[in-house]
Amino acid sequence: MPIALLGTWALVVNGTFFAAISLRTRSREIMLPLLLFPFSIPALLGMVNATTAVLTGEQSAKFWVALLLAYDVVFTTACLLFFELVLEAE
Amino acid sequence: MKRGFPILAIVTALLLSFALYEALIVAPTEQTMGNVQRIFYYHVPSAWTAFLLFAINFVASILYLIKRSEKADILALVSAEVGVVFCTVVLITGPIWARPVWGIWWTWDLRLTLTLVLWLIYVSYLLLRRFSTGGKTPVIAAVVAIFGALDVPLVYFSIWFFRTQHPSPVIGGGGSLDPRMAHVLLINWAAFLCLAWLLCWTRYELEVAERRVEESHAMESLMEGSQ
Repeated sequence: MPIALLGTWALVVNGTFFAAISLRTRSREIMLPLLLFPFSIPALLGMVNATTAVLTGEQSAKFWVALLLAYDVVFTTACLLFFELVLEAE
Repeated sequence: MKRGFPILAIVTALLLSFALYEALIVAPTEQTMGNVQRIFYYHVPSAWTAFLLFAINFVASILYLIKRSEKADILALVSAEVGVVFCTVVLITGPIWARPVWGIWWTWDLRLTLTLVLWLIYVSYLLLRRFSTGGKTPVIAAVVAIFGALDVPLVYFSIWFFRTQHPSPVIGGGGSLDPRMAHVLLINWAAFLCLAWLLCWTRYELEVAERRVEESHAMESLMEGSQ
């Protein structure tokens, strides 16, 4: 359950932010996934591995949940800091 | 170009050839891997140089956001470009080494994957610079660069928690390296740093010249329009 919450949060935060960035680019339909995917890979990795660990029960999911949490904290802060700057970049 | 440029070019050429000689002839042959191991002298210095350049890119981006100076923007662009080149070298020499030693070209090991992610991030950064419109490109690019740099520590701390297939880091990884090998490695790194500096310098001057040309073109068309 916390995995789903943290993972969704990570994707939502980054998705919104990069949508704002790609507004300023040409051919934005291509640029959004191009930008969003590499930046989200750590979060995706964390989600997939944490879920695997929980389902199989072979190893502890603690590390991956911590990674997800760190990712969420860092990127939420960064997004809040830079969001205005990017929106005003007109 | 300033007078220091040819001197730096000569020093780089000398250092690179000396480093090649050291790596191929002077360095002792590795016991189990044999001569294949010599690619290590290219792989590791390139990786260090690439990390250094990405760090410069990060600092230059922050500087740009604070001071809004064009120089910082150009420096960020240049260091990202050259960094991607060195990161590509790492990603190419890695599999060449892995094929005889591990028996496979590539594995989805955490460390390899994360280096690939790093490469992807900076490629998308360069793409963004190419594709964004208007005068605010540098601001957006700087923000994306900072995001990319935030990804990196997350990625690299995870290496410490896991034993990966990739050999542990030479520095701070508890690995044992023959002092003669370490010596050759450092010479190679010095040579690579000089090369990176040279490339950045050239690219920097080129970018400055390009921007001047663009500006004068814009001015010209402005003048024509007003007549």
